[in-house]
Order: sequence, then C-alpha cells, then structure tokens
Amino acid sequence: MMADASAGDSSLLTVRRRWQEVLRRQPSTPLRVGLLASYTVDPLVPYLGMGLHDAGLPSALSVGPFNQILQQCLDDDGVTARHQPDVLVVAPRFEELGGLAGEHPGAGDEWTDDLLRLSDVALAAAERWRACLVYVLPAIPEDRPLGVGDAGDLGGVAASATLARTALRTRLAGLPDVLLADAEEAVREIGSRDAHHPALFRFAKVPYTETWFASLGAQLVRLLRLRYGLAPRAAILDADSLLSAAAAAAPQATADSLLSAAAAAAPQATADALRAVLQELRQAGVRLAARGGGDPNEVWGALASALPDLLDDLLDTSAIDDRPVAEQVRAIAAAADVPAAATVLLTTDPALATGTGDQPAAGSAVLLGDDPESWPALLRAAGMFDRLPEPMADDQRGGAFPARAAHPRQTTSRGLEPPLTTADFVASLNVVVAYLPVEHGDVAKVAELVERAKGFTLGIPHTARDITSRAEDIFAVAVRDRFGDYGISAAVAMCAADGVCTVDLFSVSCPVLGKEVEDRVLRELVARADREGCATVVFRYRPTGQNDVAQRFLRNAVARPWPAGSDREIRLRIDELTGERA
Amino acid sequence: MTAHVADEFADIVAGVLEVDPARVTDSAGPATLASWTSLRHLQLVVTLEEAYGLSLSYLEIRDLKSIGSVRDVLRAKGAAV
Repeated sequence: MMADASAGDSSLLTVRRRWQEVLRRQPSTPLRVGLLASYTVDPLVPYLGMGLHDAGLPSALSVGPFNQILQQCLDDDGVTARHQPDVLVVAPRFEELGGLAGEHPGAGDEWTDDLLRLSDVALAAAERWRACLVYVLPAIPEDRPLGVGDAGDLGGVAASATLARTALRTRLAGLPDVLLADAEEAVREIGSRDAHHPALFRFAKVPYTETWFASLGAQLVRLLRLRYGLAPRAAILDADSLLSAAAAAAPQATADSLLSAAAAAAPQATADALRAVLQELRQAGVRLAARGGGDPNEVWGALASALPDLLDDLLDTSAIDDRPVAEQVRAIAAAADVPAAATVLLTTDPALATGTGDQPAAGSAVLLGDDPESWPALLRAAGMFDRLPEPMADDQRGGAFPARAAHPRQTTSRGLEPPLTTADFVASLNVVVAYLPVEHGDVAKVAELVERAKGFTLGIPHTARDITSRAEDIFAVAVRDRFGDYGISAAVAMCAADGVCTVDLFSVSCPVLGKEVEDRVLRELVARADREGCATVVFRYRPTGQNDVAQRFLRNAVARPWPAGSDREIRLRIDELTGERA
Repeated sequence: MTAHVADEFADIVAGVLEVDPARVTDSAGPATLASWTSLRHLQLVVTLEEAYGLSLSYLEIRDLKSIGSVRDVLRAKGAAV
C-alpha cells in the first residue's frame, strides 16, 4: 500500500524500514528513477521507492547532487545521466532561485524566467536520455515580506509564485512523456505548519518534514502508476464484508430480503454509499467485480438486491467461490484483462486489507471505514479516480494559455535544443569568489565547513585545533552569486617545501558545487604554489566512500597541463592514502 | 532507566544505522560506525523525533556526535532513554 501522509509517524518509520529491506533484495531490472532537486531530496527515496515497489514497479533510485538540476541536465556524463534514468524527477523550489518576490520589482518575473529555463533544460535532458520527465511544480514560499499584506500585492510572493507556476504548467502540460506533480498539493494535504522543518533545513537543506516527503512520494507513485498502466483499473467489491455489514444491521434478513433490510436507516445508507461510489468508479472507467465465499446463490442474491443496477457489470468478472482471496483476485484480473497489480479490493475487513496489501502482485486494497460518507475521500486518496489528461498540441493550447506564447521554447530544425550550456549557466550566476586568510574569528566557521563537507573533501580529518595551529597554511574561500551569499564555502591547506606543495585540505561545501567554484579555487591554489616556486602540487587523498566527487575532479585536473609562467609547467599528483597513513 | 527503555532506544538507533544493537554504546559515533553517514544522521534525527514525539533544534542536530550525546539531548527533553 502507498504511504499515507496522514498516517501516524510510526507508519512512516515502518515504510523506511521496509525500504531498507527491499534494498537488500533489489531486482536486477528495476525502473531507474533519477531525482534532481534544488534542496536535499534524499528523504523522498524510501516513500517513492516503497510506493513504486508496492505498485508493482520495483525501482532503483539515484539522487543527484544538491541544487544542481541544471548542471546535471546539461551533463551527459554526470551522475544522473550515468544512472540512465527511465524516469527523471525534477523538483526545484522558489527559495533557491533567489530574489524573493515582493522585495524588489521584477523578482517575480525572474522566478518565471528561471523556472522556464530550468524546465527547458530538463525537458531536453529527458528527451536525450529517453526518460519520462516528472516535473514537480514548486510550492508557494512561506516567507512573505509583507506578511498578511502579501495577498493584496500583485508583485508579492503568492502572486509571483502563482504566475510562475502557471507559466511552468503551461509550458509542460500535455507534452508527451511529461508528467506534472505539485509540491503545493503536498503542503496543502498536510498543512503548512506540519510541512516544514526549519532546523533540518538549516542543518542539511532539508526544507520539509517526513510527512511532506511521504505525501509527495505518494503523489509521484500515483502518477507513475498511470504512466506505466498500473493505476487502478478494476475495483473488486469484497461482498463478504460489505454485504454482511448491511445484513448485520438487520440480523433477521436473508439474502433475498437484503433490499428490505436496506430499507432500515443504517443499511440503506451503506447500500446507497456503496452504489454511489461504484457508479462513480464505473463512470471513471474502472471495471467492477465482486469476490466472496460461501453459497454463491446467497451472495449473488444479496448483490442483486443491494446493487441491482450494477449487476450486469459484476456478472462476467466476479469470483464467488471458496478459493483463497489472492487467487480470486488474480482470476478477476485475468477476466477483466487488467494487470493484477491494477486491481483494488474494496473491503471493510482490516485483516483482508492488510493481507492483500502485502501481496502487491495480487493488487492492493482500500479499507473502507465504518462511515460510508468517508468512502469517496478514501477512494480518491487511493488514486481510484486518477486519470491523465489527454495530450494537446501547441496550437490547441495557445489560446487557452497565453503564457505559452509569451515564453516560447527554443527549437531548431533538429528538434529541441538545450537552451544554454553549462558555461552559459555558470556565467549567468555572476559567481564572486574571495580568498581570505583564516583569522582567529574564522576558525570555527572553517572547522565546521571542513567537518560537514562530506562529498568534496580530501578525506583527511582536521580538527578545530589543527586549523588554529596552522592557520597560516590555510586560505578560506567566500562565495556569493546572484542567488545569495554562501559565506565561507571552501578551505584549502597547503604547505610548500623543497619545490613541492602538499595539499591535505581541500574542502568545498555542497551549496556551491556545480558553479565552477572548485575550478577557480584550484587555479588559485596552483598560482600560489607557483609563487612559492613549486613545480609539483601533491594532493593527499583518502577515500571515505563519500568523496568520489573530489577524486574525479582531481583525476581530471591531474590529466591536463598546468602552465606556469612562459616556459614551464606545474605537475599535479594525487597521493592516495590508506586510513592508517592518513 | 529500565532495560526495556534502553533496548528500545538501542533498537531504534540500530535500525536506522543498520548495526547490531550491541554496538549502540555511548562512545559510538560516526568515527566508529561506518554506516553513520550524513544521510543516516538525518534519518536518525527524524526517526528519534517521531519515536519520542519531540523536535530538535539546529544546534542539537549539529551536536549529535555520539550515541552518548544523542541520549543527553533526548533526556534533556524529557525522553526516557
């Protein structure tokens, strides 16, 4: 069963634990899903992975580097491209786009431009990689400079975000192999107060709670079920529990007299509610069936009495016999010509709902509660009414969506072209890098940076005391760009002796990776080594299992020449250490 | 502190870090438990918040550097661990 975002936290923990189990026995040919977000999106993985698994779509998920959507989409040799995703999920947030709308004129337009550019690059990448693009419309930011006044500000946060979301939806809706999800729906489902986690955002750029990630995961699973033909296509009525509920209200009733039993208030309401949801499902194109045990004549008699106008729908596909439920479900799926995973059992029996949910090959189950009025909402939450919109040609949408014409996509005779290159993108960021000595007041900041940089690091531990004692060997790097000021974001320790410059600290924080900051720091480092008269720069590197990105970067750097002055070169070398030697 | 409470805490932490509960000692931390990565650190935080019904601040999250420090933070917030 899909993770229910409204369920208690213990159920979320259960999902994460089940996902750990699933990972241990991952199938060899799963659906490959690449995740790119402008924030730390790793918490989504268990909910999306487990939901897909339970939907009959076992998957292998790969999370791209933090806030590098554009860079990854432009790089056919990046970690995301190398994962060869069948599905590319792209999830930006307004907050990482910078320039808070409402604070200065035109910021809202910048949001639209940045988001559309991102969507075009993602679309081009998905086309090159032959992946289905799932684009998550960003949620409207919570931070409003005018507070309650934002609602009346045409250039405010809500207005600007809404315009940008509409432009994005207009750009992408109805395109082949493009699905749209909505982060705002996840916020709406659980409420803004329960959607955000400020402490975790400050610590690791995780802006949302587990409940929010579970909600978004469920939404993505429902979309992908539709994409892969595994959305609910047959509803199986559990006659044993649903009809006995009505009969229980009138103990003297026989199967033949269920209709008269239903005349009593409670069973009548149950029968009416059941009839209403089944009719709605039928109108949505869902095949109807019934399963039950016991005497077939009695069950059919009860069905005929309670659901006379739906009996024809049930006749050809139902299984009223003494076979096990899972076997009945498979037989019904075959008769209805739908995958077993696309069947949903509607029941009021908790044991049956849980038991079937653990056997995804035999479909899933929706536990209908005691209150029939809640049934339509339960069925909606289970995705029973989910459908994809029909694809539309551009000329069909032009009139309805003027924003499409206002922001045309870049195409050439060869089809859709990436609208820019990585170099274009980085140039557009206006990245400013400043190299600073480590003063006394900076030691704590540098030490925290060094401790927390797990990806781009040489892997050699340095304590705050180490940094204090050799501050003269270290330079810090402050970074800002048009999206914000990142403060001290990198640090390098280098020591020159006998013509060799040894570097044992080269750490760059995640938020500035992918902006060529590391390239600029390396050039600065080599220039400093040159000024010290060094012909060789040695990087002491210890693999940690998490710092491959630094290793790849250094290997590329070592492989190219580093001219110094007019007549010589500086040689770069990696000295790979074991844990003991480090 | 009862053995049951200690076992429950160890089971929760061990489940997130995927280690034997016997290795969940106060001195254990990222340096001794290889599975205590930055991602598992996040999972540990949200799991403890869920299990004990509390919220951790940025500084508390940052300073969880050993099992002992995890216990200290949870106890300071009234959790029996």
